[in-house]
Amino acid sequence: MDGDPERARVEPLMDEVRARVRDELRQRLRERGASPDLRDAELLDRVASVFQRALDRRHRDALLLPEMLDEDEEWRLDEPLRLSSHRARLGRAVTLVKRRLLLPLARWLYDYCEERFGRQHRVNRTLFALLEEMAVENARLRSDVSALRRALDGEDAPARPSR
Amino acid sequence: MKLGCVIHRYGADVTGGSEAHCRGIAERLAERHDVTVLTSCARDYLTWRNAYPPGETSEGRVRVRRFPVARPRDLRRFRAISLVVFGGRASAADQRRWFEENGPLVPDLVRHLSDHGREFDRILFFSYRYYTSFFGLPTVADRAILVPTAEEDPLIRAPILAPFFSLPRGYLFNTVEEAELIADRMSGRRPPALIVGVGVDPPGQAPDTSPLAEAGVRRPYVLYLGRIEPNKGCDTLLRYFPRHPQPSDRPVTLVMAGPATMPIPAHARIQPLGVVSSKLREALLAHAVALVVPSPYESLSMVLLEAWNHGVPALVNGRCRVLKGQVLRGDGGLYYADRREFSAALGLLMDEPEVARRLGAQGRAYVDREYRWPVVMEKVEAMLCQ
Repeated sequence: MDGDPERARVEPLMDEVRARVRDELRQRLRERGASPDLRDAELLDRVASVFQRALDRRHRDALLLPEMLDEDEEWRLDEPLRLSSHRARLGRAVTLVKRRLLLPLARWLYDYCEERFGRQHRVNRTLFALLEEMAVENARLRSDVSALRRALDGEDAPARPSR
Repeated sequence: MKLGCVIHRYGADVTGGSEAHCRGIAERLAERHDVTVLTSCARDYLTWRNAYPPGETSEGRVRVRRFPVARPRDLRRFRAISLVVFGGRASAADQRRWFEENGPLVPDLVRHLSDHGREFDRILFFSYRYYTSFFGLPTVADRAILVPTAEEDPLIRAPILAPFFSLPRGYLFNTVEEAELIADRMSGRRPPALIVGVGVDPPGQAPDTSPLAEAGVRRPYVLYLGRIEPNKGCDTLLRYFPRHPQPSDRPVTLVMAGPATMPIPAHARIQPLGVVSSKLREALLAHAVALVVPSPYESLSMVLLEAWNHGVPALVNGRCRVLKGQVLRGDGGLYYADRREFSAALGLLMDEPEVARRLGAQGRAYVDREYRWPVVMEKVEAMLCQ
């Protein structure tokens, strides 16, 4: 069955689909006066593939940059609405009034904001993922360059100046 | 064997993937075994309001025992706890509360399992995300077979699930992607597992186009079939489709059949039909250019198998690993990652009918190989004997 020449294979068809999309993308970028660098089809494909890897990241809750930030509160958009009062004795009554009277009145605004906070949070996560993707690629390139230098140093050590 | 099947709701008039899955397996198991379905009295999956009478009834060879829902789902409270749990900062108590609020809250069913569960040789639990499985399974873990119907949604990463996923005696998975997803989340032992899926009966004689003409369906069309809601990716589909450049000589219509819980924009080439009769449903499936499955979360997609059963190719959301995996394994359609790929893939299926026909036929051959009931039940029986 695998050797059936009549069989329509998904991946070659998807290559065709992706080629159509890339051609349209290049055309549109050219028309809009995008960076001249991106007119190079091969370069554009490489850049797009880095972006695509970040977009394809499934678990954006496991990223390095957010872990390195001190506090969640510094970057996380808080979606849950918490009602509280600083008053020690009247606190419970005030919170009850807020919950029963003010919250229903403000519900539409809360729902409106909640959706937008969620959207911004997703954009932030995508940007974190993209930064991570580029940082990983950069680190790998540095490591490759260092390895190449060491190899060259080994071969040509007497002829090369020390760095 | 004396077998139990635990499911959040059950009945001939209950729609839903895991419910149909449970029903199909329970009815076929009952041909050889003594089968009791343990479920709630709910019919509506949003509120879980009691609709069926509590107690025992017989539906064919299957004994059904229903337990009352202690309180309906409060959607505001459920939403609030979901924000906490999916925000990634939830305590174990918050996570347990999520399962209580998700419901259906049937403490009597869990008590019944605790008191009488040992009377069963095996108990199949369908869908891990409901109260019935999360609280019921640990009481009879040594004889529990979990059919998780897990999707790659935010719940799967809740830390409380890591030990839970190591509890069952065995697993019946829908796809290899689902098996990998659960294996990745287990914190303890790895129970034995089989990849089974759902059985599909061979289609009868191909229905003619008269039901389509009666319903005023504009051809050619691509079909969305199922609940029309954002969770199923319909918001994305309704954004992508209107921007698809239509050829003037052969424009394509998006036909959407199913109950809608979201607004469908008025558009000359989008035709919502609401809930349709089974006759129209079959005709829609048989004559579509392609079936569109935009859902980001699936553990199998029965409607995809149904479309392939009719030799119809699929256009699926490639960001859902299960859907992409199924399409690749069956060579039964195309997938997309964004609007531009959606449009280019749809264009290809429209422009090259011979390619579309072949993809559909290959999908059908895949269903013949993997998803006929005798194949499925042989694997289920093998797991019960382990």
